[in-house]
Amino acid sequence: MGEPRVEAVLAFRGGGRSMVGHDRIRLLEAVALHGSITKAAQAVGISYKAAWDALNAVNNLLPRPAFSAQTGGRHGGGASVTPDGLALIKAFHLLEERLARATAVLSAGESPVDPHVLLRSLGMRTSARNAFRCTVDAIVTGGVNAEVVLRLTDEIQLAAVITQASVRDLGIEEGSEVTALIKAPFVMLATGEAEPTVSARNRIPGTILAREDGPVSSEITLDIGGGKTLTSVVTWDSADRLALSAGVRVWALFKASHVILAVD
Amino acid sequence: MKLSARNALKGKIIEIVKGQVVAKVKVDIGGQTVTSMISVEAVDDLALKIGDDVQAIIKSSEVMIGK
Repeated sequence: MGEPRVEAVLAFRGGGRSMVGHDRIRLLEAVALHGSITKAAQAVGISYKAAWDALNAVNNLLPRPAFSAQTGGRHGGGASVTPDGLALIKAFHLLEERLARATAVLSAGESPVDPHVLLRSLGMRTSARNAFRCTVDAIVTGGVNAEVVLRLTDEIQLAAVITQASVRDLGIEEGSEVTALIKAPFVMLATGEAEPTVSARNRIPGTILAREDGPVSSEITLDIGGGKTLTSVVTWDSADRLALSAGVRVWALFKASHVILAVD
Repeated sequence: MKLSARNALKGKIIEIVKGQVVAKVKVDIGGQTVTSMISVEAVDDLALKIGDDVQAIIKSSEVMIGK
């Protein structure tokens, strides 16, 4: 007996017709590889007739054919996969990979499973160190830009300046759930009790949890309350000059125009 | 306030152009001009006006170099 494992099965369906799943995609790949339905059928271990029927089912799924059989009739000639067919193969594998990632979370047996974490594994992952799930409190529209005010925690609001076009394209409105992304090097740090008098719209107080030094840079992680942490990368010189170490109270400063918004 | 940014250039505001959301602020730094784009709200918060002594703060990771 192997480990209990959760697997997701992906299938495409169009117009209520038969489903296109892993086996048919594999057959389509074999056609692309061998350039012939006969050889593709042999490669995946099914009869010519079964392959022909399966490939036609794939063709029925798409607005344009996924494969085309060259003249020579049903039993002769070659076959090739169209650009639409190749795109279908690629999309199928991408989705399969994402699904596998999501089901791995379930398989890991961590309980309870956060449905947001599960969904996030389906979507894009980014290199930005700071990703905050927020609710849109307000939108101030300008000519080209818009300022989006986000609720991060009960205590903290974030400001993001993005283009008007992005607000439209992403369908952002008051109450929308968005993810705010901030690269760690965009985050400046300031010491001192008083709130810094700088133009940066985002001024968040926090306590240093950890400092990790490299030869040039220092990575500083802050506890900003409400169970949230914020990571900043500053030069090692600055980290030393400000005597940054665990427990020190600091202000995290970043410009509103440095906040990227993502929606699911 | 001590700031982690390595570059704080002292100068005087010579121009402010306000849009609806974003404002352009030009700062004269010893004969050279640094242009900053900040939010209108920040201009109001800091009560910025022409002739004010300010610092143009630029994180070292944000400075491009051309040759």
